[in-house]
Amino acid sequence: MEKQKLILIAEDDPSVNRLITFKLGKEGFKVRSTSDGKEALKAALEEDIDAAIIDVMMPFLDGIQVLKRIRAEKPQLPVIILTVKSRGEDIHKALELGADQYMTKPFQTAELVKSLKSLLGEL
Amino acid sequence: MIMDPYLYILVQIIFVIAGLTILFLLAIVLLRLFHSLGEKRYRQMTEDWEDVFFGYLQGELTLEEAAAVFKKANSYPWMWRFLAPYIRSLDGDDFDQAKLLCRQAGLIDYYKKRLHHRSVTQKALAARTLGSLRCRESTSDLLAMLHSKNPIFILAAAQGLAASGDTSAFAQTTRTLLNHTFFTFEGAAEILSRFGVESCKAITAALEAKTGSGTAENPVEKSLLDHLHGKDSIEPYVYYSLYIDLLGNFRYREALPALGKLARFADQETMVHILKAFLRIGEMPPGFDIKPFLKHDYWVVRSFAAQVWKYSRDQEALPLLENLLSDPYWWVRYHAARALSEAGQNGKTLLKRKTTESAGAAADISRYILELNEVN
Repeated sequence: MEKQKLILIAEDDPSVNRLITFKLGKEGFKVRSTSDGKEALKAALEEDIDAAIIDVMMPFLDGIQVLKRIRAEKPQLPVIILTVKSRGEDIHKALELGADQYMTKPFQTAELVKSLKSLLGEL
Repeated sequence: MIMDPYLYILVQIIFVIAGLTILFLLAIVLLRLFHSLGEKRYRQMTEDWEDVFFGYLQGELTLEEAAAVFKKANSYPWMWRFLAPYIRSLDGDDFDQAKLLCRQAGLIDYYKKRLHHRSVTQKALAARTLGSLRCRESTSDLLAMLHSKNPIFILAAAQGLAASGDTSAFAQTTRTLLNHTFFTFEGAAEILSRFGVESCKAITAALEAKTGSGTAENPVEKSLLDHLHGKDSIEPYVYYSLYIDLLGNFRYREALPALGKLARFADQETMVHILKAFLRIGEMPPGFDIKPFLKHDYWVVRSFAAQVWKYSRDQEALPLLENLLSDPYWWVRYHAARALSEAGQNGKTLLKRKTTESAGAAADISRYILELNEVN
């Protein structure tokens, strides 16, 4: 049997976090859920995760800083950045730092799953 | 001691003002208190609701069990406030399940009744909510609201209809939005785009019928075709422009052949929108001849034609692009030079030659683009 892929979710909004956790769980992924930047970074660097979904605005350490550190240590890890539509500068920064994709909130969960699967080579 | 009557009146006024101020401040404090108590209660409820909602979606709770919890709270505005972000993000079976929960809990009936409420705000909110829940049984009520004279109702009804994705209301919504001056063209396009990609199919069918390569089959397509035939007070080019913009926004490639045919006999405004749609879609119909558009009388058409040339890279059009380097309009010269700079070595050589050949507009724009390319 194929190993379940482990996805890191870093999102401080409990509703969005829970929604993504639910959807990914339904799609057969294992989820490691975090709600602040420090915890997310620790999980990303120390655990055997297959991809990360990271919100930009988070307490303690923002998503851009988390992405920067991940890229320095795990350059191949697929990363999707979540941001709000009005913060275009975050999108530019995230793409410059090597985010593989970004999604603006509110987003359709199906789109997120599609992006994730495409990054993991499952589409 | 007898007080001066004027002083007495003054003291009375001060007392009244002070009393009113205290009452006003007290009212603010009480309102804030009630609000924060309400928010606290809402937060407590949503903690429970989240478990119930996801438990229901995951099949751990039955529809009846989950609906009973929401019903017990007896607050549909709070229920909607909680569910709305999920409803907007969910799709497929998950959306259907969430909608079923709303129906079972009585939320849909509640907002259907609110569509007939006296308050403008409540009516508008109900229209948007039913739209977000894709309640097509409310389409006739929303259409009635769309034909009201109040702009708030018209906007809410249009947003509700568009969110519902019920394309049977697409033609009427378009006509209403274009008929009212308080909606800008871009605003109307933004609202209509929420009908989704299904509307592009109807638009394409109407364009194909108009260009003789197909027929308008269903009532929606026939209504759109009537718009293009100019059967109401709005000029057809306005409809063309809006519909073509929507096709471009959705990058609807299936419409390319119809757009290509239409471009041959379209008026200049429509032509501009067709070329803009090619840019959005990122290609032109196969075999589309860009040359007549590079020679068009209207400078905006020439400017867009120069921009879309890259999709055909038609070498026979290079002399026309060269001519456009001396066009009276700066933007035409700019886009022609940009196209030539992307046309391989021949184009670049031509631009370099222009910089030395003369001191006119063609030389200036060629120099500018070559310098810009060096910087980048």
